[in-house]
Amino acid sequence: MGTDAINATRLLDILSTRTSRFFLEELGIAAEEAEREIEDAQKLNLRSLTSIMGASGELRLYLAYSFDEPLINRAFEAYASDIEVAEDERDLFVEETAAEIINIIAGNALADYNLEGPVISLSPPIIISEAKHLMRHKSAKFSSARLVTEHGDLNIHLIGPKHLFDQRLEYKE
Amino acid sequence: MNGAMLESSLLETHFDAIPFGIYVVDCRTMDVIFVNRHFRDRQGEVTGRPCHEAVYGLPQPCHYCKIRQLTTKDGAPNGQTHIFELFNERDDRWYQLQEKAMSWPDGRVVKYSIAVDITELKETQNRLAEAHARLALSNKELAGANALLSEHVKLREHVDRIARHDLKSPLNGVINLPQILLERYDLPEEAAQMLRTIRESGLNMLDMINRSLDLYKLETGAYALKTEPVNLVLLAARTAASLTANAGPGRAGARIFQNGAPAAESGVLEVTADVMLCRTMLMNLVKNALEACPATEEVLVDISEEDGMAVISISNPGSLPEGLRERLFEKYVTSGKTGGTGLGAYSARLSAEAHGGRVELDSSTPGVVRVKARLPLTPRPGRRPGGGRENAV
Amino acid sequence: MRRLNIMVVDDSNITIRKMTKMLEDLGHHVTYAAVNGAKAVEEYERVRPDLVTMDITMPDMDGIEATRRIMAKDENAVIMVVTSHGQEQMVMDAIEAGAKGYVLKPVKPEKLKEHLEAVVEKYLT
Repeated sequence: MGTDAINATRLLDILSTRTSRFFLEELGIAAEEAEREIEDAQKLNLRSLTSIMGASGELRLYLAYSFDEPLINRAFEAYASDIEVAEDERDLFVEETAAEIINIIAGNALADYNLEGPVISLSPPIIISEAKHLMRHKSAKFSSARLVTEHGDLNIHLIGPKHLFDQRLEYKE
Repeated sequence: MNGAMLESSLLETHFDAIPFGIYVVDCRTMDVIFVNRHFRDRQGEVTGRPCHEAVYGLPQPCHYCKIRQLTTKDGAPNGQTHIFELFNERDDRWYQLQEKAMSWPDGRVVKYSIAVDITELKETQNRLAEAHARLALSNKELAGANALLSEHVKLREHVDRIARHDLKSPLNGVINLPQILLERYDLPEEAAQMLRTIRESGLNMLDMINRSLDLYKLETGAYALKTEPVNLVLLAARTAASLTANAGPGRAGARIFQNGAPAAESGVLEVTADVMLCRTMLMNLVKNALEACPATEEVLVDISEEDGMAVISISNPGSLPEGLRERLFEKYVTSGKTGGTGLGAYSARLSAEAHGGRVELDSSTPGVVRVKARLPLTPRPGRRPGGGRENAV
Repeated sequence: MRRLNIMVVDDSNITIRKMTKMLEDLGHHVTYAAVNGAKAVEEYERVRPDLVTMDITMPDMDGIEATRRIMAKDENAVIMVVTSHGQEQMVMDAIEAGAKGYVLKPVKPEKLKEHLEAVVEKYLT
């Protein structure tokens, strides 16, 4: 987003459609995009659980998937339906579900965005498990799409330029 | 018909010609005002009904409705196109929707949606990387195999060089010592015959070694033709004379014809060719014919021209065993005679092909084996030596 | 297909558990699971699996580097990359590092079976 080469609209288009498809096909949850803001969102809502990946190479920004609690719980139940999870593992596995969702969708989507170019690599996902707001200041640019499901909402955020933030989306001094 | 109606009808005709479903919605009322033929054929006529109900089966506007994002605050088209994908539960298929606002001829601001069925594309999309990986893997293995092949070729060339040098020296003894023994000692005939056989085998082997490099070059296409004018009649006559002289007492030998009549000493049929290759080719074919026919019978060599090609036709009385006919010009094929290398006819074929010509077996006359070598009067451009590649070991 | 001893490498416990379930349902045995590339390289020689499934995006050595290092230890190692990355260059990097298969996440049993069979037929028979 800090450079002209990044087309936030196109990237959000791809992520949004990939996300709808993943939720429907892998988790059995219908998710549709309801609204979108390109580069001028003044603040980002981080919901109860947010998974974040940093992209580097041709695309230098953070991708964040932020889930309402009932939605990520429902997603976990669907994703883990074929395996056994002990009660004391549950919190960890819910977080890992959020991490794996962004990992699979972003990994697949980058091939749509950039099939043949130089590699855009992704850092392993990290999880923030507290709701908070991220205000826009300095030269930051936020783009965001909100997807709605019957279990709650999901935000897809593009946050850049990457160098302004650490991987927990705190502004660097 | 007024202007607006005409324009509207033209637009509808255009939309009808598009092979994807299109529906047009009034941005203010959300009523469907037009669907094109493709859409109508699949979903029926839905004009006049609200789009969320008619197209998506929902009682209220879809939560993902894009209409607001396609117009300005004043309700005018903002020029933006929204592209998104949607799974339609009604027909269980994925669609890509392209939506844009425009002014309809009657003045209303409308949204049109073009829906392209992308179900199959979706299924293949994620297979792409995997297919790519398989291709990359095959390529990598192929590159490995090529490197190995190239190693083998190098090794083989190395072995060939060693073989030629190292085999030839010991052969000196095998070829020359029997001669000395025969001359110096009065040996019983049985022993003398054995020595002659040893010498003959040695000569045969030397010939094979000498020829193997040229043969190898012909096989691999590395042979460079050194062309010059060659009188085939004269070359054939000399070859026949030399072979007849060596054929041994009581053998009829070979006789030269030109265009079916005994060749005159001044007979000429000139080709541009590699004289070394032509000589070996003739030598091999005539020698094979002599070896294949009864001692008292003659081998006939006829030189003629046909369709811009020189034709050397070598015939001898006899017949070829079944199964040999198709394989006569293949490598290491012999007719069961002793001392043959199975390379004569094969190298004759490679020599002919190196010139852009060919050799063939003509069994049209019963009781006669006839081999024909055809050479272009001038070597054909575009055909390089190496026609025998598929037989290279 | 014969029963394979498999090492699963992925930084996600839930993915390890899902992969293990799928592989064992297919009749194989997961003998070791590593949560990052460094651990996979460290344990490879002790475990000596017939086959390794390798994620790419992992902390503490990614899957491409881990593939390269395992191949350096054992040139006959059979490593199948299992990742969400579909970018062409990423595929090329993995194959160049020595991967013998590439499966795109999300992984389903049928897809996994098909890829395993192809790899086994080519490299493990």
